[in-house]
This record gives sequence, structure tokens and C-alpha cells, in this order.
Amino acid sequence: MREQFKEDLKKLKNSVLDVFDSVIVQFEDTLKLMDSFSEEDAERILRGDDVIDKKVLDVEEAGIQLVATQFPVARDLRFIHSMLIINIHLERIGDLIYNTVKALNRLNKMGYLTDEAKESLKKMGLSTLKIIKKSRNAFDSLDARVVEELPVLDEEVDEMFKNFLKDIQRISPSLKEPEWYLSFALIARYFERAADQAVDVGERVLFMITGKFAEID
Amino acid sequence: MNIKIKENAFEVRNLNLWYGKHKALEDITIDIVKNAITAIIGPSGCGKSTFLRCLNRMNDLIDGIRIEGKVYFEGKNIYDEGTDVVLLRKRVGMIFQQPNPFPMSIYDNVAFGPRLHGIRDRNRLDEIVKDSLEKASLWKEVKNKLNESALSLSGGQQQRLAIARVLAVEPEVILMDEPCSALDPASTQRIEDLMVELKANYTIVIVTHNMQQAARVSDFTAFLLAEENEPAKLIEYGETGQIFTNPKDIRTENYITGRFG
Ligand SMILES: Nc1ncnc2c1ncn2[C@@H]1O[C@H](COP(=O)(O)OP(=O)(O)O)[C@@H](O)[C@H]1O
Ligand SMILES: [Mg+2]
Repeated sequence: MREQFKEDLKKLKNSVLDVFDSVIVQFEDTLKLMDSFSEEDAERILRGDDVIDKKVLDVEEAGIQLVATQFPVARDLRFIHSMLIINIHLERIGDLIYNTVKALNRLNKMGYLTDEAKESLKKMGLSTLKIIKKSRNAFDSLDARVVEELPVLDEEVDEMFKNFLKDIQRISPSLKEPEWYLSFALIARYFERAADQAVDVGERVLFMITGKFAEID
Repeated sequence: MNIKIKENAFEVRNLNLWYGKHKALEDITIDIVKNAITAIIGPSGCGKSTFLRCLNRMNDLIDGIRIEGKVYFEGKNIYDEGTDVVLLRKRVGMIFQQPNPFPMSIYDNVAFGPRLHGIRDRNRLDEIVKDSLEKASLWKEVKNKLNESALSLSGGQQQRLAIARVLAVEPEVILMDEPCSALDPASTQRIEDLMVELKANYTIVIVTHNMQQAARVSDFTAFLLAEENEPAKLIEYGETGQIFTNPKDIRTENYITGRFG
């Protein structure tokens, strides 16, 4: 029944997965900056955000057209609606990556991007990346058991965020430098926010599966 | 992304039509894209069927009708003198709201057109009947009762039989005038799925007063409207996705959102 519509839904899901993949590549590239920073690489990541924004808009347009032309109800409506919301979460994660790279640029220009600083940021970034990948997996598989793993990972990120604040005090070159402190703390905050967005994706996936709104924690 | 150059099956230019003194269509200019589904929507009585019948000169049969303008089919104006109208109607088939099968067997219904066009060889006819019924996704249901009366079929099956009958003469275009309005939702769904399948090989123009159907199945949508005591005009034409998310004309918007009048 409604073969074409089924195809269209599948296509929409694939487009969202494609946005996911672009976001993940952007995040991985950002973490590479913490091994060795280069301005060209940073520039490339910043430009990559425009590509993501374009893809996000395309998904949105396709979703709206499906709603307008296919009159989805029940599960189909839930799916399209959820995919559009997940799409927006992905755009936000993309923005957070963008902000992270901007802040890294500032730190680098001020000469504060020391090995110690990079090491500390990278640890937190890796756990964030893990949770984003897990949320992709949850969305792809529509498996509630995968969603349940998200809060555990999120706690890990929150824990790191706290440790990170301690790190800041330890490796701070001088507390007289508010710029340093601010950029550093912001990056940690961006990671923490990105992980929250990934958990929100998980909540949407649960809604897709069960039709119930639930917070997971 | 693949960019496909769209070819037109029809190019309608400044088409005007009168039933006696009553002008029904005014200055319709539209391209009908090949291998796509074009839906004609508009309020009841606005001239959708009239327009559709212009595409295979079905209107010629009506007394007192007058037509001005040009309808190019594959580049040739079908209203030019010397057009072979029988051949035109073979190339541009038509499905109506009521399937009205002939009171004869399922087999003979499908073989009717090919026989009319001179095919007599039994094996060839068998082949055409099977092939047409398969394309109309009716074969499985009727293959063991081809000699039973077509009148024994359900409404939805009769409509698919009507499609098989049209397909049997190997048309290029299928015109459908409200093909589902006498059918239940499940049969409607089958016809809609069938239309989408058929568009790979045929150009389809469907008239429907059901906007949801137009939205679901068509690639392009044309909105016809006859404003008070006026002949019908083409108000808007475009890709279906655009028409249903962002129509350019306020009258289209009012019609599709049900805010008319
Ligand atoms: N055979 C005919 N003779 C005279 N007037 C007709 C004939 N068929 C249609 N009309 C008139 O033309 C207008 C458009 O009709 P039609 O094309 O059937 O509209 P629709 O298919 O949109 O409901 C109506 O006013 C109708 O009364
Ligand atoms: Mg009509």
C-alpha cells in the first residue's frame, strides 16, 4: 500500500542519516584539531557547517512536502514530525561544533592551546562523540535498547564536565586572563550541550517507536 | 543529483472552448510533461473534464462545440486538418469514473481494442491480454476466470480492467477522469499505486475533485477555476509539492485549504 510514500519516507530517513554522518565527520575533524591544530583545517570545518545547514534545510523542505501532499497520520505522521525535530537537533550540534572551532581558534591565536589543554578537551570531546554516534545508531535501528544506553553515556559527559572545571584551575596559565578561561569553559559547555542534544534525539526515537513522550534519564 | 530534461507530451496553447454560446474554457496554455502524472484540480463544474477531453478530441462528439487554439501532441497540433482521430484516441486513451465494462468476458473486454485495430492471431491476442492485465495489476485475480463475464468483477477490479483495456492498444498517454470517485478506499489505493507504476512508461493526466488524491499521486498540479459566470481559466500550474506547500495565487491557496466562498 502507498508504495511511493513508503519510498519517500525511506528517502527522508536516509537524508537525516546523511546529516548525522556529516555532523559526525565535523566532530571527528574538530577532535583532530586537538591533536594538531591548523588554521586551514579549522577554516574547513567552519565552512562545513554551511553544507550541514543546506542539508538540514533540504530535509525540512522534503518533510514539509510529504506532510502537505501525503496527509500522513498515526505512525507515519509521528515519523515525519520526529525526523524534522531530530534534524533540528543535528543542526544545533553542527552550530556547537562551529562555536567550538571558533573558540579553539581564539585560544590558538592567544597561544593558550597547550598540549595539556588539548588533552583535557579531547577527553571530553571523545565521550561526546561517542554519545552522538550512539544516538545515530538509535535513530537508524529504532531500537529502544540502544536509546537506553544514551543516559549512561550522558552521565559520563557530565562527570567529565565537572572534572574539566577542576582541570581548568590546574592548567590555567594565569587567572588574570579571563579570555583564556572563558573560551576554555565555553568549549566544555558546547560539548556538554551537544551531548544533551544527542539525548534529545534519543527521546524522539522513543516517541517514534512508542508514540509516547518520555524523558530519558 | 540527476538533472533530467523534461519533455512535454502536450503543449496546449491559448485553448478556448464554447458549448454553443456558453464559453467553458478561456485561453488555457499549459505543458503536460511526459512520463509524469499531472493532476487537474478545481471545483465541480469548472471545466476539468472539458479540458481533459480536448487532449484526445473526445469533445468532437458533442454537438455545438467550438474550439480555438492549439493542442500539440508530440509536436503536432491535433486540431489540424487531416489528424487521424482514431489513431489519436488509440495513442491517448481514456478512463472514466464509471468503468462500464462491455457485457462480455474479461478476455474479450481486453481483446476488444486490439481486435478493432486488426489483430486476429489468437496467440498474439493471448499475449496482449495477459500483458495488459499484468500491467493493470489484475492478472493474478482473474487469470483463472478469463472467460467469465466482466460484470462479475468488483468495482475496483472493473476499473483496473478498464485500464487494462486501454493499455491493450498500447497508448502513450492515459487520461483519467475521476477514476476513483466510485471506488472504496482500498480500491482507490490500488489504482493510485498502479498510476505511479505506470508513469514510468506512460504519461498520465488525471482529473480529480479529491485534492488529497492529486497531492498524493501527481508530480504536477494544474488548478482550474471558473469565477462567477466566467469561463474556466488556468489559475496556477506547477510542481505538486510547490502547489501544496506554497501556492503563488491566493485563489489556489483558498481552494486547497478549503476556504472557498
Ligand atoms: N456536453 C455539454 N454540453 C453543454 N455544456 C456542457 C457539456 N459538458 C459540460 N458542460 C458545461 O461546461 C462546464 C464545465 O463542465 P465540466 O467540464 O464537466 O466540469 P468538471 O469536470 O470540472 O466538473 C459546466 O458549466 C458544464 O455545465
Ligand atoms: Mg468532470
